[in-house]
Amino acid sequence: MFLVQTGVLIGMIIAIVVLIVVIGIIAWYISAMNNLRRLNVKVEEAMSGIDVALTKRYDALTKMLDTTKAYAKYEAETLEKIVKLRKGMNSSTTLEDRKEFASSMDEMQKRMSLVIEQYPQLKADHNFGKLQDAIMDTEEHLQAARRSYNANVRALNSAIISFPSSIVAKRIHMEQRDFFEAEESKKQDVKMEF
Amino acid sequence: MEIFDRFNKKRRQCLPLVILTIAFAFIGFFGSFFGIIFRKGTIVILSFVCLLLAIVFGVFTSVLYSKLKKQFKDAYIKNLVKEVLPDASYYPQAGIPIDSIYRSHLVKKADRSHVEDLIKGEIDGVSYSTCDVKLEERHVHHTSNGTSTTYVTFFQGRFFEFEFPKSFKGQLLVSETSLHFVPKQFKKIELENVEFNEKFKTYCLDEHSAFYVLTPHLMEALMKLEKTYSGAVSFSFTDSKLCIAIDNRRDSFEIKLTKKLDEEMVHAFRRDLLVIPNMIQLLKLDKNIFYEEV
Repeated sequence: MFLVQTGVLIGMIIAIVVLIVVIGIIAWYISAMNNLRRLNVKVEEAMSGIDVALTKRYDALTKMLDTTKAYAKYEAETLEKIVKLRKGMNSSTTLEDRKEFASSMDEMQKRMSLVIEQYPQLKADHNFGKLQDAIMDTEEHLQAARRSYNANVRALNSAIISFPSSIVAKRIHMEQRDFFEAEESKKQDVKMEF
Repeated sequence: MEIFDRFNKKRRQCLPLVILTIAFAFIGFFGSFFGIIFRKGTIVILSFVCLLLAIVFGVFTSVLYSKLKKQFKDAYIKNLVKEVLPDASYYPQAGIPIDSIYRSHLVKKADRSHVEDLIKGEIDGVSYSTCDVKLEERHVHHTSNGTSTTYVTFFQGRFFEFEFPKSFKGQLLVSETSLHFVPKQFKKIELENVEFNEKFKTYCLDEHSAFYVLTPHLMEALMKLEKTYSGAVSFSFTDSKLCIAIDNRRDSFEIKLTKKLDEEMVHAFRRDLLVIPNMIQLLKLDKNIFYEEV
């Protein structure tokens, strides 16, 4: 009788321990999954920040092109074609598309600088100066959005590859994301004087 | 310097009063202690008289010292400020409004606060104001004999406000120490600079603004500034305003009764004033740093 009672007791203890372990694993799994999803949402948010910055930059460059048209119509229209082809971002736009769009704007900005050099009266225009400042500001916002996106991608990627959260990432098919790298030429373009 | 001789003479005149205060306090304290233990009524009475005299001399010395400090600031520091910072104005008794200091979220609300030595001016188009700040917290102790209240200093140092050449939404806090008292809306974030994250804790209302303000170059400048000045340094960025708090447990531009006024002290006062242009230069607040020259 005593042996039977002891056996039941041990069985119950084992069952409770197993239950606690199972509940613990489930709780950890849910928490790890939520953490990964939260990090993923942050990456998406940061991506939308890049979209906003790219759009702002596009608008500022377009305004500058319109002003340039008054002085250099042909060159401005040619430049306009470069970015117009790339305009328009939506949910299906990939990171590569965004990088390409950013590069085309960099290209246009570079070429525009060369055009502006040929028209001193344009350079001296007060409103044009303001536009240049606005473009630099949008450039700053783009750099900030890019750095914020990369910081969030870094956090997500490290969670995906770290054990044991890597198991959860695999189960929910979450993959590492690409960084939004700035082109070397772009880094040189935006010279900050610190 | 003639002015130093004059103040050193006044300072020396105060010293006997300090010695008398200490002596009466010492005699009074130990006299009453022994008088009570050995039950000598006369000694107790005499000791209490000594304590009373210590209080009288103490108050008298304190009044004289305050007067001397005020005279020194009016006669010497005002001129020194004009010499080092030509466009600045100095107000020894005034400070930055305490609400403005609290709005920076760099310090928690105090039970007792004191601000003084306000300097306001402009350098290379950057307007600034700075003052000494002392913040204290009330501690109430319950004992068998009742309650006793003491004030503990949790911040003492210099507070700066600079015009900041960048417009953005939200507020950003960068501090060497954890800011447990910041409102819940502030999120703690990490930037891409590992060394910066190790040195500072960053709190923001908007993550994009944090990255917009804290460019890699500004992060380097903040770390350099932290190394340059002793004490705990913290920064608050709000739209077009940068606040810097340095908790170094120092009271600037003060003369000490026990310390002779000499060239070394003048250098210290000068250094305290040069902190302002140095900060503007180090953080490049005088330049439109964020835009490339086109």
